[in-house]
Amino acid sequence: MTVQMFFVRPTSADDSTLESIADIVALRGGFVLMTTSDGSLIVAIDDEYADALRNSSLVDFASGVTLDLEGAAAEPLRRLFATNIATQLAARGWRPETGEVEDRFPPGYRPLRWTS
Amino acid sequence: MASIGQQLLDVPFPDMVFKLANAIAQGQRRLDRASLETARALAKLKVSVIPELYEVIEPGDVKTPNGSSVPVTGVKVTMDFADPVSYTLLQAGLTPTFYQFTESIIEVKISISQRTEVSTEFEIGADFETSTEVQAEAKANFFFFGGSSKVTTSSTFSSHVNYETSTKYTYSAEGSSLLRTTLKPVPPPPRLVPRVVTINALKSPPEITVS
Repeated sequence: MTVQMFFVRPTSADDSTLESIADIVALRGGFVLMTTSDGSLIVAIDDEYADALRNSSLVDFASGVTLDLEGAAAEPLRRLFATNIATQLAARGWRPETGEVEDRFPPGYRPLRWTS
Repeated sequence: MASIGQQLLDVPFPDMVFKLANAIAQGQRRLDRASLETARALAKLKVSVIPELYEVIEPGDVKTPNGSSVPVTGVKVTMDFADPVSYTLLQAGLTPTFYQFTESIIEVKISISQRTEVSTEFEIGADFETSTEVQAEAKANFFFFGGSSKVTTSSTFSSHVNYETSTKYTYSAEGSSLLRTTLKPVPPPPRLVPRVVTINALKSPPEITVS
């Protein structure tokens, strides 16, 4: 199991498409790390499911990305990613002692701190 | 039927190697294209980051709580933040992942077995049969006394030869081939990722740095 970050450009930037893509990611144990101004998503998902993500009719394009820690805003991005993962894990009922989640789709399972 | 050695030589290795190399080249090209498209997208998308928050701690009012003779020095904390800075995602630190085929293996396994069974059965037999029949007759009267006898001997001889031969030929060939390639993420090629050119116009002459 290797979790990788992917840049995902949806076929349409409307909310329902983004929500459906987030569902695809959450269903496979992944996380939405951030959204961008044009509706693209940065997600973290097991690369085993990368093809499922790419082949989705809702996804126009998906490709791997890496966070360069020497980037100008790498640290704020890292904090943002961590915040979003923590929030989504908490919403899914993650238990640190077992590493398991109670429910991947509880109400509000996909909280996300949006960038400006 | 070609010999086993010849059949092994007939395995189309050159074709297989060519097709594998071709597939790798095509796959590599598509992967690079996807990474470049990602780089283009990341270079366009922007994110605003507040680089610094300021906390100014100044001496505050000196207060003496009710009922106490000890004065307490207060502080005044003023919060402020720097203007948000807009970065492209590429500048911010998100870079496309480039992949490279680092190792490829072609493994061909072929198992050929050939078996010939020849069986021959040879049977020979002979029957010999002989029989003897004796007939005797005697006659006598006052004037005559005589007799006759007859001996009949018959013999039969028979022989047979059975010859049976059979040849059983069994041939089986099993083959499997395995193509395995290893794909690893590699640092982006320097020429494919845009450089960040900073022009500091605050200095005279403007200072240009490339990173």
